[in-house]
Amino acid sequence: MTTTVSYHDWDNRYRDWTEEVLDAVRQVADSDEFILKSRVAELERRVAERTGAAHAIAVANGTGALTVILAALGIGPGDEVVTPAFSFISTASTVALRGAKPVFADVDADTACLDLAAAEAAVTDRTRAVLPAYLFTTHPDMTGLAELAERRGVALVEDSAVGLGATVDGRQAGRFGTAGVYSFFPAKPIGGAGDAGMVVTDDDDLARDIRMLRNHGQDLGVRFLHHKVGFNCRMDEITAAFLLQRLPKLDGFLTARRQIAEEYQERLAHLAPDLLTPPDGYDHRAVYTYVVRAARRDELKEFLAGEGIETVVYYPKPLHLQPAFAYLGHRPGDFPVAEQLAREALALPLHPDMRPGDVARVASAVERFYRGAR
Amino acid sequence: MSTDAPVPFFTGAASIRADWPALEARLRTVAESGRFTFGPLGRELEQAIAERTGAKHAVAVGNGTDALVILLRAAGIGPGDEVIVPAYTFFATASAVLHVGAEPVLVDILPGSYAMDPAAARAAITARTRAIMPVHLFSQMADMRTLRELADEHGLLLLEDSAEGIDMVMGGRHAGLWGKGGVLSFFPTKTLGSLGDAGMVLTDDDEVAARARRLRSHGQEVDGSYEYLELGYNSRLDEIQSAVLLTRLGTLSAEIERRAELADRYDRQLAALAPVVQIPWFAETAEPGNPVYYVYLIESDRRDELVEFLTAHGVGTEVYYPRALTEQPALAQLPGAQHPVPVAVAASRRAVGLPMYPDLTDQQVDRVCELIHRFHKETP
Repeated sequence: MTTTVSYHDWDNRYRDWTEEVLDAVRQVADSDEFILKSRVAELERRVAERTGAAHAIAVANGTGALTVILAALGIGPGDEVVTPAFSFISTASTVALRGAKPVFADVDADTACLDLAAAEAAVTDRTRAVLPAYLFTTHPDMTGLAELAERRGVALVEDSAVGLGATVDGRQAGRFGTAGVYSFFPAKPIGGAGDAGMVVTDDDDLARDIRMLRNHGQDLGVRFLHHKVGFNCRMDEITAAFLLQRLPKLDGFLTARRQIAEEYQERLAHLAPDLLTPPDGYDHRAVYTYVVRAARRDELKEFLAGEGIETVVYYPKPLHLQPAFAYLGHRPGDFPVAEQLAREALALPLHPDMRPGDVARVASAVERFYRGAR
Repeated sequence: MSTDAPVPFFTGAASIRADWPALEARLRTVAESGRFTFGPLGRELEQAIAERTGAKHAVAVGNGTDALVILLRAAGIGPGDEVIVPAYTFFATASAVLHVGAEPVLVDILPGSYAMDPAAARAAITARTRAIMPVHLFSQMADMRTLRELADEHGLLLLEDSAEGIDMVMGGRHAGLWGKGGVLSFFPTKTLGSLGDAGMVLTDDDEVAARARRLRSHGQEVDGSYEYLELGYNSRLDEIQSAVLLTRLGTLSAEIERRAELADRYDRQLAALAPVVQIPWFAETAEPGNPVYYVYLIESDRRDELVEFLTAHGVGTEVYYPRALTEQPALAQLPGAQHPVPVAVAASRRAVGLPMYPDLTDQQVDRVCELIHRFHKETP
């Protein structure tokens, strides 16, 4: 079966951006400035301006962004960080790699994000931070989590990797807590030309420490003077040069994605309860992946594949049941919503340059699946 | 070119311009495929580096530091282990050991090679020592035959921080392949430099390679499976950097020859300043190695004044390294930082790298040498 609707459609994603890629490489080669130089500084300024953050600090990727924040907060052995049982691996692996304990909490069935009450219940005397993640097209209850973190006196680290450009309750994604992160992984709404990430924070001391930690713990003025056991977690100038071209277009990318999500929503909402669409109201959200829930997910995926439609399962296994976290001793049943989502979630193709009719093609195929089944 | 035009410590712009047609073709492939993170070009680069070095496996990662962290993890180094490293090297040699939860034990170096002193390493071995990790700096390898024997005698793993070691060979073996594994850094100023961060793990060991591949991709056995077997990292080599490196590989041998010519030109003009200025020399090793000039490092009794003078006259230099690792604030208090390292400390006060890159002209070398002579004549 030939593919009629590709999930990522990489072949067409950046076709119109070839000249910008070439230009970024040529500029950087001619300037002899390669890493953490003027283009990176300019991108940091633009992101700080856009988000209203006092500091934007460019790093190598979204995972690295979480790592340097946790290290700057001094989180390590003996500490606990409350984080969702259903997420990308980095929200928990970065905690564990600092020597701290990721304490999983269940997620909300509608948003698939960290559940506020579950997070509250997971906070102990050893909790140093709460680390919620934005997923798909949704976000956690950030206002509630910020209040929780404040009341319990712990840091709030916001994994808003997919959220640049979104607002939650009128506030910019990434700006609720101690620090937030953005990822520029190519598949993200504002994709870069390679891996790249950004930390935003209003905390001057934290920002200074993160600037050191991303570059081997080096003094910010004196080369080869290392104050901290830092990382190599730097943004390349090529990626920054390319992102400087992309950033002004972000709102357009987001609008295009929201329209696609809304079209799916209109076409598919009536299939409830067999198929559940994400929460309504895309106006201010960052739409990354369009994830529906279906009790017969695997059959649906197979049916769509037969129709030439690629889909992806985010995520097939919740974090607490991953082999990497076996040492924490969790069992099936510990976080039922996370486990249910792992069985039911399915991402349909969504990217801003889908061909006209692609959404309708996918939606019709989904409808056919359920009609045939009745 | 005017005789007093500045001589930067590094520029590679002309080399890239010369390579542009081939590079542009590769970059178009990348942009048009939309694959910007590790992909087909990264795999082609791994293959090309494996062939060039003779390594059974080359595993591309985000940078040389990540390569060390991943190599150490893949080799099974972790909490409770001590790893002996030289006290004179880039910070990452020691920080990588700390990042895997182990303890770096910093030992002194030998003059000439600036590499781990096997006798100092032997003296630092304890019941908790798990590995020895020498570093190959500037232009020559550590005495690997002697270190190999030391490791074997004590049942220790031998790992190499061969970040600077592309094309360095000793006893028929490429740097990084004397023990369990090594690394390469493709930092832009390196002998094989990219246009951003990039690195690689080299190993002949199938298990180390398999684990390194897993660790660079968040612990996934299969990319995109979302099944995580262990705690890993996001350390992918960007396809743009692979495109640059594949293109630059075409001229690497010629560039290394050019570096040798430049080194020889420096040598001939600076030798007369001995013993106040010391040109690079090759330490005796159990098996001979080949010189590959990544950095042209001299020593001077008046290093800091000389640097100031050259800077004032538009010549870029880099002090490798201004401190022994035992003197770094982040490391000084560690139990493993308490061995005396007098040779490393002396080198940190005396050594400085002069401009050394394929785009450097004979005239520029002459100008640098002339200035160094003038400094010693005018300010005796």
